[in-house]
Amino acid sequence: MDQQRWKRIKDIFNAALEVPLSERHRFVRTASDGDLELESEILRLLQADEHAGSYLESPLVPADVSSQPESSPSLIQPRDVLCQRFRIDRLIGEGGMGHVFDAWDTVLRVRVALKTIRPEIADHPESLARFRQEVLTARSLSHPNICRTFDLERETRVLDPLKGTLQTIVFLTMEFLEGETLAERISQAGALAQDEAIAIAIQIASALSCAHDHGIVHGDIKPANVMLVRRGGAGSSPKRAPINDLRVVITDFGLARVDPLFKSHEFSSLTRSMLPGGTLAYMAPEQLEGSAISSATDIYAFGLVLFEMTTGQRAFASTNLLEGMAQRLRRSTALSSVHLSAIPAPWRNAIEGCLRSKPAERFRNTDEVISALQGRRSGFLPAVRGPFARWLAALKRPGWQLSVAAGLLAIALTLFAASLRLYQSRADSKVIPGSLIYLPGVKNQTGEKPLDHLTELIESGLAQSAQVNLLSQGRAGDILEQMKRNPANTLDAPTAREVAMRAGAVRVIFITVNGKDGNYTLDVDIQQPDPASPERYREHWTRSFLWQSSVAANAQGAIPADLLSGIRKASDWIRHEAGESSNDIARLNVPPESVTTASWPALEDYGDGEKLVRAGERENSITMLQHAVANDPDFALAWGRLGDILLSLHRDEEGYKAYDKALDAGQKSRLTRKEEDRIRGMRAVDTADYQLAVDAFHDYTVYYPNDYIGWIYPLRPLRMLGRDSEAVSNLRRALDLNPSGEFANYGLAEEFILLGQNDEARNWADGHLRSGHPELADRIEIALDLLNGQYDHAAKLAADSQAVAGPIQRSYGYRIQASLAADRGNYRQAIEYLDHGLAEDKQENRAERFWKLLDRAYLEIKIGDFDNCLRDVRAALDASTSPWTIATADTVLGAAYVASRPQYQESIRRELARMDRMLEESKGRGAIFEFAKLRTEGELLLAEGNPRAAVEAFRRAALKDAPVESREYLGRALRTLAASEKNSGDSGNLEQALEAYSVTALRPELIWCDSGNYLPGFYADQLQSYVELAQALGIKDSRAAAAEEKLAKLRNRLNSRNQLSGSFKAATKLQGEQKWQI
Amino acid sequence: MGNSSGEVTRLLVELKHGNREAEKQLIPLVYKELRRIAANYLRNERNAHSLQPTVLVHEAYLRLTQMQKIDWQGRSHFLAIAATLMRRILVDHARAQQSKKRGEGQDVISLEDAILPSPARSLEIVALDEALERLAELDERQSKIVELRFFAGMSEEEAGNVLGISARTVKREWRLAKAWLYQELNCRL
Repeated sequence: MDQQRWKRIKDIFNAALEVPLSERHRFVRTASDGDLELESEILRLLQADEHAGSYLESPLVPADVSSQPESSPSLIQPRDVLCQRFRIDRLIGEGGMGHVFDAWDTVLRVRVALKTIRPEIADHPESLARFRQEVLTARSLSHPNICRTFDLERETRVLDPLKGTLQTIVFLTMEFLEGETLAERISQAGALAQDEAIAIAIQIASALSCAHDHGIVHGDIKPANVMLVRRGGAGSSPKRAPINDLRVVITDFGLARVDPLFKSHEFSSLTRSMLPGGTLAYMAPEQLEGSAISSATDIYAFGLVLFEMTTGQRAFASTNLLEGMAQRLRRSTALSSVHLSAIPAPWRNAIEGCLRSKPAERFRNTDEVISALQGRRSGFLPAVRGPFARWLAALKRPGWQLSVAAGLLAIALTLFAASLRLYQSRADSKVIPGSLIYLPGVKNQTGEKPLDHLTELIESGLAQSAQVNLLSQGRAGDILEQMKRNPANTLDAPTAREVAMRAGAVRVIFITVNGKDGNYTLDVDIQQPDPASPERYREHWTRSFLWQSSVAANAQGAIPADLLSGIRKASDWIRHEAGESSNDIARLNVPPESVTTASWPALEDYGDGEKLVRAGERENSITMLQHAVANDPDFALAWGRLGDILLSLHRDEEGYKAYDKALDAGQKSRLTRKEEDRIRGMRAVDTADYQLAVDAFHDYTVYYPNDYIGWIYPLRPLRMLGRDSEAVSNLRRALDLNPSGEFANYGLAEEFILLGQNDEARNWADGHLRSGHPELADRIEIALDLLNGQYDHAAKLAADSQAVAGPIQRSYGYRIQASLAADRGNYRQAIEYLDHGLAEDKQENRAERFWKLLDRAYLEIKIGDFDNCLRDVRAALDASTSPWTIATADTVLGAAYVASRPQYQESIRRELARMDRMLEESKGRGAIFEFAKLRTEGELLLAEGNPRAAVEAFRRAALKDAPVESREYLGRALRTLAASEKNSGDSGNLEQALEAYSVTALRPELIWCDSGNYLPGFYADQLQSYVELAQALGIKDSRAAAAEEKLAKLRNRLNSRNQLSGSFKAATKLQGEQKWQI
Repeated sequence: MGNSSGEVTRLLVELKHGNREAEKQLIPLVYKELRRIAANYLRNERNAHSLQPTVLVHEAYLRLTQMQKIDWQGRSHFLAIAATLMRRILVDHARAQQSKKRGEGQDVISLEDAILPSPARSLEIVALDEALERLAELDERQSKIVELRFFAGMSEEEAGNVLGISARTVKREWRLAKAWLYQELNCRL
């Protein structure tokens, strides 16, 4: 065999893995194209692949390691990777089930809690089967107060290679929660305050109510299974958290019921040490008896939890467990009046209503408990309720005739209840607002190719819903990959239902198109997956929609109107079934052809483009989308998507143009409300029209409050407007909707810094970023170090972070390192970092290298290398002519002009004039264009020796600039003006210059949270100018003193380090040459 | 230590600039350090079971470079060299164990003793090494991936970083390499 043949084997092998098992053989035969040897070689490899399992998966490790585990309490150690996917970070607890670890899911990139299952359960096939069933059930619950369960997995390990002993580890993965349990809280704090206890009770009730609605019973409600998670800073104690910042989460759903320990007939065989004492204390009488449990069982336990919260004591103390059990089994009132006398009346009523011995006499649901707690119900509920039941109770007097009658009645009642339940579920296809629904691709059974693309049309209607959110195809693709299915294949129904269940989608919409020439039906089947198994659905609702126009005749032209109207009716019906009000459907309902396209070929190109985006092929998707808009120039959605992708590739100019096309009011097809707000908002962010952006996203959240995009996208505009508190509350909303969002977590940590809550920032970064995104956590820590004057530590951290960073983070990391070095006056080193970064960028052909060129140009001024400075500025402008680039180049050239000799000043002026021409058509294109234009004009005026006019231009620029942004340009121009009028004796200009510099000199937080947007050394330069001006003006206030101290700290430490002092001296010397003549 | 750390840094920079000679000079330095660390670990019994190849390699790196600024390429070169060395060490030891059965004397505590698993696997390891050489002729990168993963204990991501490819690619290549090796060794053993 040679390399070429191997390559061929590799290609076919990899492709075959994507094909379902049953079709592989055929696939390989076709692909081998008659080469029998090749075919059998590949088939052998595929077979080996199936059998290889964990072969070579554990690295060759020392004998000591492999012999160790036998005696160790847990088989799993930190740094282990289970199932090639879950990396163990640390042990966080040991419970009845087994060990609990803090782990990292490398596939989905989220932190998870990983719970190992005791071998007694794991090795017991029947228990394990039941366990799996329960996990599936629990997984169907999606509620903020219920801990999400993800998966049950297993890994088989060789325990001792010599003896050949194997050990199977079965484990569960679930949502990672950080906080304390209610049990811990009560044992520390004793009885809780009323308002706190009520707040907790309401959230527990909400979780139980959701579970009970789904027919799921927890079976082990107790304070130890209630987690108190603080929404803000994870590290701090929940004690200090305001009540409304507390997220209460019920854990271990579905676990209690499967533990064989809970089967009463097995009690006798248990050793005492295995008895879950804490749990027995919360069992309802029927549980103790081993009878069937129901939602009433949870209500009972809930009552005990309420009792414990309000008294600080367990109702049945574990020291007295047996007596407590006997008491409950004797079916006497659970609690003596002594117990209850000290409790406020509403609480007493609520608790008593929960703790009735007979399940049927307890509160029917948690709503009733909460009503009682809040005193909305006087006294506790009557033991027997409703006319039927009362009648039944009346009949239940001694006497056999009556009991026969009662028996018959009971049967009738059961039937009635059953039909009622049926009726309710038939009628109720509604979902909770904000629910996720999943639309797998529309199945085309007509054999007519154009009808392959109906999915996009239906999506356009559903995406406008304010009631439900569509599961994105990208996320569905991730899940399929996780399920080891090929996302490109058509999904069968069980697979689609499983995708929905894994994603937490409550409905799956199956759509099939049937028929031919002139007679078509669109069959819609809305299914509620059965939590017990993806093989079945629990309920479904179907309807068909018809149209007549033949597609074949129109394949190259317009989409028939009655097809479009059928599609629209179908999507309206789905929204209606989901519970969306007719009002909302009418209000948010642009027809499919108007929000997509009326042209088949354009629709096809768009669909293909979307597929390419999903596959990560952005360049190719651009081509497809360009085809789409060529076929239908009015296809606003395609223009919008094109803009998104172009901007993500830093092709700003083209991106803005595409956005403008998308938003163009003259388009025949309009954007949906959602897309329009999003694009308008993004366009405004990118053109620095921050208020407009905030407004657009506000609009978005008004219509779509359950979509986290609307909450997270205005982060930058709010920050630039100095509205940090608003940004924080937005980010919290976003995190409620999508708790693992790294962008929101990172943004929140930064916002804490901007608000001066440094401890909070550190805790947040450590709690929410450290394990999954260490580079982001490092960035927060670097910013905090810089604020605290820990410059060496910051630099070390940046270097460490850089050593382990992936290519994209590393590219940015060079700029951070350069910025740190430059602020300390170590310019040559800073340039070296950028040299490395630029070399890598060039190799990778990264578009964003122009930032580094401008960074380097700014540093080259410091070492007096004006030739290279100008060269780098020009190279940056060749790479990008966006107004952002030009405005930054203005700052660089402005600084260069002040520092350089006349021979360079002329070149600088010419470069500025060239930039000015680039901006000729900037009017009306957005704030950043006008800002860049005014900045460039001002710099030109300065270079032409007209500081007075420059100051005027800059004052106008400052009006366009974000409130929190640096006003360095204005300060510099005012200084120049003051110098030119130095004999006037008027210090007003200098005072204003001081004010201009103070924006950043006194608020480094922003620079250090956003270092990518500032030139390296910019902060130190601002500080230096501020200090110089304060000295010149004879100002000796606390601000000036603080600035001086900071500057000294930045620069003095430098002197103590020999290797750096050379460049420092050079730098001071150069700065001495600057032409300030104050 | 101080001297060799400067030396290693210098050699890595030279290697980056294309001087292949530098690699030859690096190998004994890295080898010596790997042995030294392992011996240290061994002296302290409590540490012995935490000695894993990946820890060993990274610690050797940190010591030899004294955390001086070496860019990622330098680091990748280093880790790749160390992985090859780990393989060589482990395979040599497995061979030695095979011959020891024929009655040779016992060494003082060595790196090999510290990091090698049970003698029972030595035959398998020698065979694996030979198979890997055959694989390298077909696909050098796949062979390197096995070296990094199995002998140096790196994760898919770490191996990807060393080779400058994505973890996904590592995963794909690893799967085929694994299947091929499994097939090769099951037929031959």
